Amino acid sequence: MPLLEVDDLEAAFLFADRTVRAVNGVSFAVEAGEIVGLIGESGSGKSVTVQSILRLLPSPGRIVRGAIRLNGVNLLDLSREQMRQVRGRRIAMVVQDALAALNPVIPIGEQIADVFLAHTQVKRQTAWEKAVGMLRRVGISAAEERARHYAHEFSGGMQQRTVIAAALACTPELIIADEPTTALDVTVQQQILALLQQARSELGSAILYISHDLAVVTHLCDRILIMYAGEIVEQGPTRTLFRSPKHPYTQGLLASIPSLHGDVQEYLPAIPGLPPNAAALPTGCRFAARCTFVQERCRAHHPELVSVGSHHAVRCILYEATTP
Amino acid sequence: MDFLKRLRRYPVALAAGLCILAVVLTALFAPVLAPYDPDEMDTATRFAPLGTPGHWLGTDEFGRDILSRIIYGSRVSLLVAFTAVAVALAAGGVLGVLAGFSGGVADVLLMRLMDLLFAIPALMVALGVVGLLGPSAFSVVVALGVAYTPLFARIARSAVVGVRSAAYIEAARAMGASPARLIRCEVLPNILPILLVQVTASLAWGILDEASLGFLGLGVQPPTSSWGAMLTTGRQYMYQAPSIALFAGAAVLVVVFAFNLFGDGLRDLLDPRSSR
Amino acid sequence: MLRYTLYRLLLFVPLLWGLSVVVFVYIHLIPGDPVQAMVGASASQEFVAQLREEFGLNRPLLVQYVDWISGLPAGDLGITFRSRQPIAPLLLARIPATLQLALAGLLIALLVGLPSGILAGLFKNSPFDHLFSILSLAGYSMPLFWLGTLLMVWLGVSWKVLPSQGYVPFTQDPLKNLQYLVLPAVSLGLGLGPYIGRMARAAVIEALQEQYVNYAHAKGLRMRTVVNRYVLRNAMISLLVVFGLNIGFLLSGQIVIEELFNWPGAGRLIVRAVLERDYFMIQASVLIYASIFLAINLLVELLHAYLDPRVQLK
Repeated sequence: MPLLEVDDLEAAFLFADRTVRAVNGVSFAVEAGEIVGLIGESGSGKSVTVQSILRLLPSPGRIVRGAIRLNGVNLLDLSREQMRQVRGRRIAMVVQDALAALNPVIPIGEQIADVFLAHTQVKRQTAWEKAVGMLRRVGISAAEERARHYAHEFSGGMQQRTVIAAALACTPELIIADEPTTALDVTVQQQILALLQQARSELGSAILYISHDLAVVTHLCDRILIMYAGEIVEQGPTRTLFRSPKHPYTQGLLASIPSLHGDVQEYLPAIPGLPPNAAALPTGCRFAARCTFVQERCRAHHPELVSVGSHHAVRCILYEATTP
Repeated sequence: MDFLKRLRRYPVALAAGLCILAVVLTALFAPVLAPYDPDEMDTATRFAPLGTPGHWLGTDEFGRDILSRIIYGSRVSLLVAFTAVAVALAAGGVLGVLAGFSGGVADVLLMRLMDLLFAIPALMVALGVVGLLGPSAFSVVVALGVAYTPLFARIARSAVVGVRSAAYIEAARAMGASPARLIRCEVLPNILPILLVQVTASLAWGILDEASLGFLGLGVQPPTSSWGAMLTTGRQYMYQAPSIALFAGAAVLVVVFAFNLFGDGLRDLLDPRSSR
Repeated sequence: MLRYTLYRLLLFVPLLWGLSVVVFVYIHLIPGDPVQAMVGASASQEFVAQLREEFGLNRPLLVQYVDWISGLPAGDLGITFRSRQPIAPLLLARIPATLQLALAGLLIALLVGLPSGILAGLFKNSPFDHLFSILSLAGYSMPLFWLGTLLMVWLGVSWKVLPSQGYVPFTQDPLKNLQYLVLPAVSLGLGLGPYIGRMARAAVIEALQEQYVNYAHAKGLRMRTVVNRYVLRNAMISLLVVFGLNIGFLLSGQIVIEELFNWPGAGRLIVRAVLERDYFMIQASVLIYASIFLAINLLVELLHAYLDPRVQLK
């Protein structure tokens, strides 16, 4: 049984005048201790998928269909209180904008201590000491003193470390990292990624890593899911995906990564065009409008996700025919 | 018009807007609508109670018809509030634009001055002005106009400063556009929504403050009928004729409520982010 | 914090000086001859000239200003025009009554506005919130004196529950003093409550949209912890700031309430000065009122700096 199993998830925002279908029938699994990358442009539904897993969809978002199972238990069936006990203890979250995620008027240490107080039977003093311990563990020097500081007194990297400390506090089985390095400069990025890898090797936590950037996740992830317009369009082991990307969208993404040997300045063009409006999705393939290989049939026929190799699946008409 | 179409989606604001329109029309056509001359005294029918045929809202201490006085009172309220806000809008707008465009020391000094004026409550400023000019409709207009000026100056200045630094203004300037043209074409369209909301809110204030001054005996002087003054006399004759104070107060409440509702709706309508 | 406090206090001095200039200039800029206005148009030219001489109004403005401001630090606010009494003791005698009413009114306003506004904000778009929005807007539009009159007639006169007008000093008869306080304080409180409620609602809604609230939920914190430590704590800080900015406006309603209930506060003194067109009294009281509001603003700013660690940086 996988650790996390998202099964045919469909989430939508029901506005008064329109319905935005952000996630449409997404299914995937994360095994215990595995690091999975979930890649897509902004608006592809990757963040909504994450919010659905934690059941923290902002209003008027709704999970319309599907199941989200953690060790076989459907999270959507849990009571509010049960769900609260899952968050932060079994599934922890690391966010992109650490500064915004930290309360500006509460000392850093207290915000980590709050996690212990919420999930374990400890006294405030013990929680504080444990929080200081967590800060030390994520590599913050003079942790006793720094714990009394406020978020704005920390550097960007230290803010992100604080958020990771809060996430690791209760040794979660799954860490969801939503673009945790986007706002940081390159050297700090590497430190944060190393910290996440360390969490996997030391705590055995699985990681679902969300990013819009394939390049960042190549060395981190065991497996990669590519999302486009609310669906998974390709999934497979990292190596396979890099060697033989099948979906034109994946190929486009890979092509826009600057070559390691080439000049770094020389960015290759990103895929031209914009993803479709989630309030008015096309009937056929959702990528058709931007695809270089588009055929007549693409605009009418919505392709299924089909297997093209071991653990490798793609959602494209080009591969549907070969596997009837 | 697009604006009217969108207004239809805010039924409360629309109703409030219609109510304001009705009050404005009442003020304009007061001589047609009022059943009596508001100043006509009739000692035979002093303190006629509520529901007296011919005087449905009763009469006051001089036998004047209360309904007619309330209808005529709307003229004072609206006229004072509209003129005062217009004065504040003009003065504040000019000061704010000047401060915003000149920048530097002039900007700092002007805005410090506005901050100081802002620290003094509007009613206090108004009391000072009326104290020096003597109570009259003109004094009230000047008083409230002065009191509301800092608000508009702040809005105008921040808009000018915001627009001034925008790249397209630099471009327009480089092409030789004059400041007046810039204000008309670039600044004004940008701040129109905020100004509109602020004007509506200030009109509500203006009516309330005019009534407060009237109540304190510092507004329009008798025998002109104004809602504030009616409340003062109404208080003296609370037992003989409760309807004087009751209806004058209700008139203020209804009109101010309508302006506030309209302002609220306007804010939501013009600024989609502040959806309630 | 100490350094910040000293810095702010130091800045307060030029601010007060600026205020004195503004008040002085503003009163002298108003067209018309103040003495003529005070004694009326029928007074003889000689009489007016004599008065101008007596009050030093024939001197250059700068001399008048220096004369006026040099007395201020010692608490000399000048003398009244009609009774020729020193102004400072007159104003000072009114302070206890004014302060008592202001604090009682604010307390009631907070008790009414704060819980309802917070609840409306936390349960935005719920039926309670809609009810709150309509009621608070109606309360916001309610003329204070009308509300006071209704309460006075209803509770004070018809039911004879409470004395409707007047004042007894607390030191003389505490119970009577409080009985007299109830109606004006409730009127003021009910008048201000809607403002505070609306400010509180806006502050809570703003705080709820912050990412750290969302992240607090993601950390699995209990609802109570999230609301207390992540929503309300931050909302109350921003409410404090808005409150500080609007305090002058909030308390200007008190002038009307004092007049309505014959409450012998500073507000009534000012209204009388305005009616009598006592130029010196108006000048002094506007200065004092505005200084008090500036001082309250300063206090609020210091409190804000103490509560919000980000402030002192600037």
